[in-house]
Amino acid sequence: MAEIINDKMEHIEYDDFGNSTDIKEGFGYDSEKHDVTGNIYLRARYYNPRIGQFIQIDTYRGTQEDITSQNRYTYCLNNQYKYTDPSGHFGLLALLAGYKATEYLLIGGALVIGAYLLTPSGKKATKKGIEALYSLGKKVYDTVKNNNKKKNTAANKVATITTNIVSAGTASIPKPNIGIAIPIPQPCPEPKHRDWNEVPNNIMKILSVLGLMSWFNVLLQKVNSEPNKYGDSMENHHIVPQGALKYKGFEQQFDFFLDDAREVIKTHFGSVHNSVNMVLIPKQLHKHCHDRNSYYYSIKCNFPITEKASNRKNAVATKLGEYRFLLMWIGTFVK
Amino acid sequence: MIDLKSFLYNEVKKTMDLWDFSDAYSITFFVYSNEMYEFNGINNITEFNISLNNETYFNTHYDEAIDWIVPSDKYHSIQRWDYAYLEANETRILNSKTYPVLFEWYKQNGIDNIGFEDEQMFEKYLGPVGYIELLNIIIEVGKQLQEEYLEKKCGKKIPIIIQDYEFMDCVVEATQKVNINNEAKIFFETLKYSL
Repeated sequence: MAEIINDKMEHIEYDDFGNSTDIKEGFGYDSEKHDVTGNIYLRARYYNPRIGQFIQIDTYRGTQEDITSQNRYTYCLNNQYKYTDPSGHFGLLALLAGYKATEYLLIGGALVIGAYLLTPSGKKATKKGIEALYSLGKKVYDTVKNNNKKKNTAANKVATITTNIVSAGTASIPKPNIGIAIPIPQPCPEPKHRDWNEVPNNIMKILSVLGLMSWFNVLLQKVNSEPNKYGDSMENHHIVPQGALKYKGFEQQFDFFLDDAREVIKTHFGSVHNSVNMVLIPKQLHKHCHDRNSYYYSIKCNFPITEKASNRKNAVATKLGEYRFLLMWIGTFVK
Repeated sequence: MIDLKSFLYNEVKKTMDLWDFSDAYSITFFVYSNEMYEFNGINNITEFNISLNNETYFNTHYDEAIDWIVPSDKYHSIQRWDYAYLEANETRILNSKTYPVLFEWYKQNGIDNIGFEDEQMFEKYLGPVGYIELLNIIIEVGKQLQEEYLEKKCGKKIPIIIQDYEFMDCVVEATQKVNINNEAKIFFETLKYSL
């Protein structure tokens, strides 16, 4: 980000998640306010750009249609390139949210479109191009404008949106009468699985810090429902994977993600093949620890290249310890 | 001399003879070594399991929402090809009865220190001693199955995907070699763009 201050061009550099050493306080990443701790205030809660996650749980439970939205700590559905999150509750398509200064989308349209985009149908709509989204946004805007000619103040608009978002977990989202069938995201029910009630507080804390809530939820269902095909068979698991998607012939989407994490481990412990980075778990669980989405993504978030700094060894070891403790504990769920 | 290729071919074929391929879309050869695997006091040995992946299981378990990172059609979904999502109803080709044959073959071919893996081997993803040697035989078995057996048995082309938990270079290359008639085209498209 660059701006002119006293006739001088100043710039602030951010990493992908908004982390920066150039800014101590004030407005910065996504035009949002940083506080002295480095966290960013997003109205509903604080976002920590260093770990790329919120530090408080979302009151909004997500939608049944999109499992990613059910992780109540992630920022922008883990896709900060595409989404922005001005409400602190869920991601809006960044391009649309860029118009937040105008009346165009703020008066409820943004809420409806944002929610719509989180659904599978919304994803398909995204593929049809930005023009289609503008068209939809315009229709929503026109409808809302006709229905509500009262001119809101900016504060009222934000309050209206926030109220709608918070109530989305229990009430239906206002549906504009525009003749287009927009699927209403269905709020997630309370977790039915009894095992959530058995998760001790210390495990919950680790899950929160490591951003593994949704992965853990899926995993609990799997290890409880599927038969254990491998008996007591145990395997060594590398917490930061040895060579995930390393194939030299292809431009792997995730290779660079995990390369950073591997470099961090190598810097501090010499090799990924180090006991600090290993844990003994049931084979039945090991299979699910190579999930390309949430587990690998948490590794990418928790071992960013910045952890290579010489004074970070203890922090990296602590995180590996948390992963180890967590995986060993989940292993006890394998039948 | 032990003909390991023929031995494994017959073992695999014996299992496949019992499979119903009508609903199948791929075959998984899981070739993987782990420090915890042990036979007769030798650790870090390689296992070789095979399984059939069918459309019914895939359609039942496919969840569009999981493909959020790289949107794709379901045939190019990670859930169709990534081992973590597969049913993996495996048959162990190497087991307590067949491992002695493998170890005898190692011995006859002067391959000793089975399971040894130093840092350099690890970094190059070569696997421990005995892994690549076995993988090369499995590639030959797979090729022979594609040439002589699978199309006749299934009535259609079906890919053999050689897998471990990751997609190591040697494993991906093995899959390329096995599918001599480009049977794994969709898998490689998926690997390129989605996995």
